Amino acid sequence: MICEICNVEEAGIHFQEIVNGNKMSLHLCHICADKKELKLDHFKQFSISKIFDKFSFQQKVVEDSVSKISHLTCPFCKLTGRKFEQTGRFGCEHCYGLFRDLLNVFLASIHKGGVHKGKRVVRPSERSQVGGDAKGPESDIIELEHELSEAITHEDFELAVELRDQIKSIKKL
Amino acid sequence: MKQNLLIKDLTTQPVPWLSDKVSNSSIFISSRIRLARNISGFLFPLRANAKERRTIFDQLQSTLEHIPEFQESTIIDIKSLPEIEKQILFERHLISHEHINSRIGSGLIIGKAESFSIMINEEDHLRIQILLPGFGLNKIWSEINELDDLISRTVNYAYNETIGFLTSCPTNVGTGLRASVMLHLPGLVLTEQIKAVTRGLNKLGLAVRGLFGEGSEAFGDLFQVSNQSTLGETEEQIIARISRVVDRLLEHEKNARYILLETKPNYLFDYVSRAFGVLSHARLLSSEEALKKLSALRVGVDLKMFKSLKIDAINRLMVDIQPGHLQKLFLKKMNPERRDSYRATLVKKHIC
Repeated sequence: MICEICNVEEAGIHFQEIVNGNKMSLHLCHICADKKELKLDHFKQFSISKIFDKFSFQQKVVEDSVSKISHLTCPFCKLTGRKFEQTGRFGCEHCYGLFRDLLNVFLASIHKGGVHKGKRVVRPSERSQVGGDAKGPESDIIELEHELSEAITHEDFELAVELRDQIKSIKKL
Repeated sequence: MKQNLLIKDLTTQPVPWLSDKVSNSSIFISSRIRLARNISGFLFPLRANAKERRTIFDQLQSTLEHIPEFQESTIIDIKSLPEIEKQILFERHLISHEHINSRIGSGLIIGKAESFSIMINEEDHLRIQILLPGFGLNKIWSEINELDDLISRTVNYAYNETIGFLTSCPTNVGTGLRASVMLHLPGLVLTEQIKAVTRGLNKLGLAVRGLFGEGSEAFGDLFQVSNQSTLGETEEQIIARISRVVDRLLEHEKNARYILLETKPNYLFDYVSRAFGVLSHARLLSSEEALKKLSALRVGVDLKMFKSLKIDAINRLMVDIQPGHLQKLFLKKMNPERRDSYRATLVKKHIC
């Protein structure tokens, strides 16, 4: 694949995201990426704005992606979307559910797809000594937290209360 | 688990991952795998407060010491260590640069004879690492995988069925695995191929870094090749990808040295001899210059230019000349200029 900026070199950096269901891709060679100060190390020091700022022509997409999360606050660790945008670090395991929309866009571009294919966790025996619940209903909780944040965004407080109670009851199990 | 062993004990031992006995080639220096893991129910370390980080440290200590494999390991409260001892742990690749600037609850567990190490409360609750000399990612994976399973039988990891092990930074999510191989590539540097090679490796989704990993420069022609992505592949696939590339790199490096020897033998011998000249006569040596020249000397040893010099001795010097180890060896705190003088003396003593 040829670089979309210089149309000469082989493209080594592939950038992809899905906006409103449409897949958008950008393929650059390392020389053009360097010129735009976009090195692979930038992906390591994951800062969304840092990555996106390099593509001024995609400013709209940047704003959309970031604005989706900037108003969110994790109910568990109180990390805000803005803070995450600056540091690229999550505050707790529940952030993964809360910021799922943004993650779906990014995980595929910094990794080889968005689904874990490696080893499965070995769970502690019943008398777990460190950490929360041994059986791990965390995936349900992450799902529900995501719905909860959506409900709050859409000001559907009735649903929000219902979801909050569901989360509480799972945590009590 | 023993508490805070004397780091003095460590400095009297050669760094295990630099032992030449197992090295399959002098080009491969060492291999390393680290796993990033977090404990469910606790905030990640960068977000947790001092009290929570302390709790994590204490709970991990009291839980892990019941595992037989941890009986002969040592746990260290990093914050309580003098600066020089932290520097030594860093130079031995047991803690990261970030971990030197420790906070309450920053810890380190060192397995017997440095067989494994676990940073506590760095960016993630646990950073489990195994480092071995030479090229051996498969062996390390089987060891670290077992160790990880042992820990997870008593520590409830933060894990999600779809995206795997949950980490502070989403660039580590999934397997949480970073595998790297450290290589000595003076041939590729001298033939000016290293930039092209680095670009090629980046295209394959691999990162190339210096001696001390992220953000560090490639001193002494030492390079670390590691995976960028941690999600969407199995651990074995990640390791196989690196292994394939590293095998090719070995061939490239051998070729580069062969070409130099064929086309510019005098240039190559001069390069080594000049380094020997500096190392055997200098009165002041910075760690950067020493590392650079020792790297050249290593090529000379490979070319059998020196009868009595062994790769082992040079490997050991490469660690001992670093500021922390140097000061511990001479048992005194020194300013940089004094260190340069003592460093020159030390090197001279070992190569002449």
